[in-house]
Amino acid sequence: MTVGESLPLFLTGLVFFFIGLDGIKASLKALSSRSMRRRAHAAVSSPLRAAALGATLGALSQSATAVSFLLAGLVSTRLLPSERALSVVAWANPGTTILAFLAAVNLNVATLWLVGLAGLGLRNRRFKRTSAMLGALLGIGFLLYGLTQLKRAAAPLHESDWFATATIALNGSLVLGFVAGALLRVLIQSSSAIVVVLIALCGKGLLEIEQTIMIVHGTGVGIGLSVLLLGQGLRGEALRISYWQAILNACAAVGLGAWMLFAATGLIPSLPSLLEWMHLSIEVEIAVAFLIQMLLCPLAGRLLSRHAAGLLASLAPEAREDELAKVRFLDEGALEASEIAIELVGREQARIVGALPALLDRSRLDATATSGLKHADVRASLESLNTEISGFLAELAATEKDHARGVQIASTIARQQSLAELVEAVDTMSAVVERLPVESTARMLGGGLTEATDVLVGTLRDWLELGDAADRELLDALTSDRSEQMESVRRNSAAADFGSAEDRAAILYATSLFERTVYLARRVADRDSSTSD
Amino acid sequence: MSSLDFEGLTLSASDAGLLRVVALAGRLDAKTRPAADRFLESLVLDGATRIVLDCSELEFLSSDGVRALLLLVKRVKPLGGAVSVSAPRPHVRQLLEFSGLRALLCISDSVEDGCLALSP
Repeated sequence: MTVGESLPLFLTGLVFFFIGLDGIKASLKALSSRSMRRRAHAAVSSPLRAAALGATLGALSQSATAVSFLLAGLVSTRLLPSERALSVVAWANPGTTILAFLAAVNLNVATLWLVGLAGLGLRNRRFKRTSAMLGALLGIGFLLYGLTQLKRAAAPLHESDWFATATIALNGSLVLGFVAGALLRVLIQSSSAIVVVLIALCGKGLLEIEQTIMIVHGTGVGIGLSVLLLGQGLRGEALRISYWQAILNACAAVGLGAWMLFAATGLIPSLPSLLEWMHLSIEVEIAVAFLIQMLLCPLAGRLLSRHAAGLLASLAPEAREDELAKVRFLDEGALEASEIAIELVGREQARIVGALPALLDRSRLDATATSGLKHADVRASLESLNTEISGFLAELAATEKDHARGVQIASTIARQQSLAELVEAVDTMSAVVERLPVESTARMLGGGLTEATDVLVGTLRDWLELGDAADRELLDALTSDRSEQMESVRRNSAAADFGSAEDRAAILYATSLFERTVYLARRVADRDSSTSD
Repeated sequence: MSSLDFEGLTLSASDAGLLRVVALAGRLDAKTRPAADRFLESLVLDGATRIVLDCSELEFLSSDGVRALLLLVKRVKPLGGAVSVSAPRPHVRQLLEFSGLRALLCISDSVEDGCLALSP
């Protein structure tokens, strides 16, 4: 394969990898119901189960990188608790060594089956109920297919003469071998594939066993580099999973590499010399060395576990947007007392209202009032929080037997629906205003609507959080009917000198959305008074 | 007469009979709101309950500024007081109206009209 052929293959691999990654995350989000989360939590309920799951995932995917990103998706959608995910990630590493022992496993065919069957399943309406699961499987298929293409693109590297020459040149230096291992792993994206090639080269006598094992150790640092490079877009807990994978592999690799260098002084025996005592074939010796390195990952994880939370939190601090996505007051225990549960839902709903001003940042007239949060992330967090609260309320409604309390729950569900619509209306209005030409009359008018919305949601939040009657009184005035006022704005803005036809249409839409915002804010406030009665 | 000059916002209060007239100049936004809140609170603590805000020199009012005015209304209302916003510039008036403050305070074209509206 020429460079001209392998480059597009490399790009295709990257594209499929990222499509797969996004697909996994999107599908897992749809799957992240409370019941599904309970099942996922049960699957990793003990360290042994977490280890078994990690090793299985590593063996099936044959890629520590793929498992890291799969788990990053599971953690970011809160299907898995991050502390257990760290254990699963650590144990995925020994799982990947299976290929070195069973070099005949054909991952390509399995990947194609996965993509084909999951894709056809998604097209078939009969499997509509399992579409989220099929979507996740298709995402995994794409991700693995992408990795396969990356490996194929890199295949000419280890088939070419210069590669063999360069590898043989490494015989002179253990450190160079280690560095080469790291770089090869970044390029080829499969430690087990590299080990298989190294076994062949070493078997032919082209490489010394010490150099070969040093290259294997170097791949550990390469895994870390790969995870960090591919995880650039990750944040918060998902990023912590990547860092954890990088740290564990680097620890194992550097530890074994240092041992090898120290052993070169003749003061202590080296790993290859210890393996030699076991009378294994060279191929198996290399595979065992690789297995030992991968087993050191969970061991390093165990040793670092006490400091993991603090270390990872300092490396990847939780973004405010991520914090927003998590329920703060609703846990499993809250379901047991519906009266308290409704109160707690109220607090979560106040958090949603409290986050609404961030959606207005992009269309504000006052640049000093922006929250500094990323709009898309806030929106995604609010959707996630809405899903959490709605799921909690559905479970609460299903278990409640008292009629009066049932009515209260129904009222709270209605308020949640109004809140979701309020988020949509506020965000859409802000988007419409943002598109208006800067400094234009229409933009100033739209900016006024944004600032007025900010006043409204700020007062609504005060009312929901504090329940002060004075705030309610203010809110009654702020949520009075605006149809006449907005109609007058629309009439004035219809004048030809107001701006372009698009600007006038945008103002027409923005005023309608503002009216709707006022109406929904009133509904949310009213629901609150009915539930607190 | 008390006054405040903070980050582009100037507030100066003077007596007009039973009323207190506060002239605002510059920008009342997220940056200047805390200082404005404190200044207006001190007026209420000094006994002012009928306050006329002369906004003729107020160049910019944001949502935070409106919330400062709402807080003032919230403070004086239980004391039987009232607030008037006088001579606001067009976009300041527009924001007050969009925000629904017409029902909570008196918006007048001039300081004289504001004083007249609040006179007992």
